[in-house]
Amino acid sequence: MTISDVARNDWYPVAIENLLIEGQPETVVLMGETLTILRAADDQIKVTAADGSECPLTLRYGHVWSSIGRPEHALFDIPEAAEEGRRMVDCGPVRVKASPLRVVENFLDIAHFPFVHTDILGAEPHTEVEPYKVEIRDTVDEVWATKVRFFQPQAAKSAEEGQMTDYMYRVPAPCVSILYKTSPPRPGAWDVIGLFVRPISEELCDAYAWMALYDEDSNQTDLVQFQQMIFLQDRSILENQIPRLLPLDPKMEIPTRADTTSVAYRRWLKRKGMTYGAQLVAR
Amino acid sequence: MYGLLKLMNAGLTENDQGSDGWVPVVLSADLPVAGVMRAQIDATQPLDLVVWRSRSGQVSAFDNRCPHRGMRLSFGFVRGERLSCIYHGWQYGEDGACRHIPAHPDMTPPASIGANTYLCREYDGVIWISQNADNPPDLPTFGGQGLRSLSVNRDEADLRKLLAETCIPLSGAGETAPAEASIIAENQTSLVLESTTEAASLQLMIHFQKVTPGKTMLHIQTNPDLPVDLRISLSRWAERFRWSAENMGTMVNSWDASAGEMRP
Repeated sequence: MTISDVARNDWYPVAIENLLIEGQPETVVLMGETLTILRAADDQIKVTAADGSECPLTLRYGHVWSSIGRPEHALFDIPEAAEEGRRMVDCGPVRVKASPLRVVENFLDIAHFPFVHTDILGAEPHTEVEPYKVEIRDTVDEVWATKVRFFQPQAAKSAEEGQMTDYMYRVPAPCVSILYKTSPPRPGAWDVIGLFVRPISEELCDAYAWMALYDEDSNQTDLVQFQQMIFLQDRSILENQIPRLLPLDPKMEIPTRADTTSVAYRRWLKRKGMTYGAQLVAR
Repeated sequence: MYGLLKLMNAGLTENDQGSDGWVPVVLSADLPVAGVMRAQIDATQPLDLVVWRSRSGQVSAFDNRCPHRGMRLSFGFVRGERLSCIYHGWQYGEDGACRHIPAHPDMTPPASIGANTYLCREYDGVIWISQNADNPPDLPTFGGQGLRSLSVNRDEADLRKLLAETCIPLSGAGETAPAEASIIAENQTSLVLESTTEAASLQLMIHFQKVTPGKTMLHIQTNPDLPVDLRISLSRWAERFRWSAENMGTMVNSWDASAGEMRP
């Protein structure tokens, strides 16, 4: 199939930087093409395509980013990654048999918390999604959802009791979402969680979670396991949505007001021509 | 028995094959109150369905897809007379209409939101589904007891032929060799297999569900009130039947008296 330029010429995560061992190449598939990532003896990391040509490379947020095309823009910025006192946690990839776009959309959704992450990120009867604000910021070409609030029994590993949690969501690239949520130990500050997705094919992907938290007490393993537990609960949904591709035809699935972010995300994808992992017309 | 034969054979000629008919999808006993299951039917347009039983016992069948975000409804759960999607908890009544959206608890869902429904009837211990039939399933009342359902990787036509060659046990615990059985009645959805000796007589009613090409579900009922050890023997017989059908393509009926079981 032809992969549209907007999909080809973007950055995608291909490895976790810290886990690359010198002299031991790793291979991954990005949109059907096999890439090899190698940390050479001089500690330089290189990404090569199957034909031996060198691929673009960016090292940021603990991950190795590359492309099968020629990105004309730098990788998106996460200013919070540079803030003092945050702990950076790489949670590792989770393979999901679903469109990368379905995975991002699920990350933007809060209404499922009481049913999929029961007694952790949500619990009945606290199911109501209050109105929140969504905009496509044309100057930066990103989708933003702000003023999102939801009751959570255990908002994070560091949470000791239920609380109303404030959220913000940001979509800086079709296969990336970053959320900001109330930090339980520091109610005035935001914890930041990024979801970086590498499309293997239109219906298969690896999703990497990355966190920049204010949490000095939890051990690393517990933080990773908490995030993986949440994501595996999501995976049981994602692998059972029909169709696997994300429908961009508004007639195909019925949203409500709680889905305003998802509606904006789908509209934004369509406008950008990001059709990889999407279904344009109902089949 | 004469009545049974007459009805079944009448069914054979009158019942149109295809989408007009009723398809058996589960034995009543295997879908308990508040139970939810997936059923696939190989039709002109293959069907992927959710079948569920409400608290009051009513059975319903929908397309296995929540109209909100495409989640399979067979992962859902029953509360009262409604089926809830596991993803966002949207609730559907037995008519398929969406009755409640938890994200907006005070809103009455618009009448336009609903799951696509199918006719679903419980008849004589079996749950049947139809896309458009308005008559009840065209079957005699067998009054049997559910034995088990069994998925077999063979076409229905092959299985019907092989069932005519099988021997079925008439006693439990391998006390006696299985006896030859014959099909005494048959129609588009079902057949009755009977084995009679001087000592005993047994009938199995077998309903066929085409699941996907090359895969058939058998829903098996027996005449009622059989002893438990005979029911166990019959269940083993069903497994052997599957093994023979999938691996040999012919019936293996050799009886190992010392082991008290069939041997390939």
